Amino acid sequence: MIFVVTHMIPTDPATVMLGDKATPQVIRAFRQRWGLDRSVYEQYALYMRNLARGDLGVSIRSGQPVTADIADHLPATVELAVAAMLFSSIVGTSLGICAALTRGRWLDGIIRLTSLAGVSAPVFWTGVLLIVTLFYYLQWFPSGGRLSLTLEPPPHITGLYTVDSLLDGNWRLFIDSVKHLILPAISLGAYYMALFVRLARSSLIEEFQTDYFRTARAKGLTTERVLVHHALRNALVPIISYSGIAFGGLLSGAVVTETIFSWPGLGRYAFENALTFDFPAIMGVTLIIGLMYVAVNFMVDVLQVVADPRLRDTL
Amino acid sequence: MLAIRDCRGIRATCVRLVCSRMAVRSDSRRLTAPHTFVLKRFARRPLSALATLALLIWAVTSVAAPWVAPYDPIAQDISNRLTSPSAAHLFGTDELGRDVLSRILYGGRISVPAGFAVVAISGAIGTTLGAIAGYWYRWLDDILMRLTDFFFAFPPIILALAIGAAFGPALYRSVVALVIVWWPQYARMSRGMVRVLKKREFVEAAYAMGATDWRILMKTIVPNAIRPIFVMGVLDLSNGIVAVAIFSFLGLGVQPPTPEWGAMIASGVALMDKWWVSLFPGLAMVFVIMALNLLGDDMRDVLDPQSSRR
Repeated sequence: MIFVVTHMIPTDPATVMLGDKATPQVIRAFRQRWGLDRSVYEQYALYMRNLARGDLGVSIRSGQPVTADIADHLPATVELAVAAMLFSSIVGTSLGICAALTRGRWLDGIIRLTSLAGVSAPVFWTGVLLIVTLFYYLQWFPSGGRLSLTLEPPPHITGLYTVDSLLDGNWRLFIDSVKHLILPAISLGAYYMALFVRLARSSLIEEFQTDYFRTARAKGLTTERVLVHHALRNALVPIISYSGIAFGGLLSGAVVTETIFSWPGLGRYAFENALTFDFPAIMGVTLIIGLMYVAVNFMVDVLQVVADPRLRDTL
Repeated sequence: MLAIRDCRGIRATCVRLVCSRMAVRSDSRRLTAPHTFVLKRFARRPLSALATLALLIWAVTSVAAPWVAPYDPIAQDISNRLTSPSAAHLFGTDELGRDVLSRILYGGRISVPAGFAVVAISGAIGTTLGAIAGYWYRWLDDILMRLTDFFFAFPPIILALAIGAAFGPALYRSVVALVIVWWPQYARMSRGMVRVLKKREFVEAAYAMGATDWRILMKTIVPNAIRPIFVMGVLDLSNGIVAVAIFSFLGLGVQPPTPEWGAMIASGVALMDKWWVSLFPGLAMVFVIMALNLLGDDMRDVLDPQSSRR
């Protein structure tokens, strides 16, 4: 399917890669080299055959196998997306709980206003603002990249710098990589944090109005106790189910965030290749991201059953 | 002959009666006429009024931009480049000495309508296809659902960027690229609603009375399905605006020197200490999007009370 979309587009990678001045001979040689002179069906059959072997082809732009390129870029994006996800779900849910507990009072008002602003601010703008204030003026955090230029990346174990440096026992490296991670993760996660605040708040308030909640309060339990032992679990279900969608959004947002923070991840890689019509690379990345998306949504389904055992029958 | 025609006439009135009754009954709280009801509930919400005011400000200033804007948005003035906000240039000037305020005012004529266009076109295409597939054709339904499955397997913006990059940079092309990935959600929604409504008693009653498919669709199903879809569209407008701005931010959408908010923010990225270049266009965007979100939330509460509980 992605194959159809990318090949329906009426552009020729040969002219884009070689420029306007390329002679017809060069163009012909280029096409032959990349199999672009064959019919679309032949190209498709070839691609599918290679795909079945786990071979995504060779990137026209970098000359490397697409799988190798993706392996290079994927850990950075995973690290960023996971950090943003943790930030948005943990901070968002706790703020939402605070707001629900203080409903109608000033703290609730402030949190709701912040979340409204968070939902309304475009991801690239928050990124730029964070860089200007926290990097340029306050100099608390670095502005981009995964590590300071003076530091060597940790030995490759998982590809996640934070995890690898910890495994290596290198604290300086760990702190540096975490510092580099904070700004992009906040700017990427801000929107979803705000959404989680609203979601947690509204579903908790709904729980507060249920009969079981009233019963529990009536028999003398404190609000906090009912919250922790009963209401939170119920309120978590919509939050978990939403996080699957949020993850897809995070991957989309990663394209922009990675560009701003010069984060060498998959989003930026996809975008740069899209600009040069590097078909194998675009198809490979879209495929991998699609797979990740499906895998995360599967995990979300499982988590949902864990949170709400009633759903077990639907599996 | 005459008798038959009479019969049909009576039948049609019956259909109309049943439909309107059922439609009203489906929302028991709506006791007054629908329109006054909606307006009344809106009037009771101060935040909605504020949001409407904000949108009015946007509408007026962008329509009247040629008269309101203090400077020409494209005219360069290199000797005055990157001056900080002052009385002469309220929001400062950018790297080519252009007045940021004027560019924001003119930019509102592009960024916001382009986002609206994405949502409106996708909504129209998706809703129509979804309704047709949900009501009539099994085979179309199967094709449509597999197609939407495909789109849902990918984060939409990445797919749109890939398509948009292939189309080449231009505003209308980025709108087309976005529409390509945007319509499936509306198709899903409208298909689902049509299929649920089709099984409701008042639709069956209309069918039993011999109403034509077209009539059933237009008189019983569409009026009941249109509100949630409309609300979804309003809440989606902000996503549309942001998506278009992302295209411009990455250099795929509006091309220079045309003023557009996303592109303006992008031009400020490299100029750390010249914060006004990207701060103000972003604020303008937040201003409009916040208003749209507030309005959308209230609209959902009023027009689609069932889903507002969530």
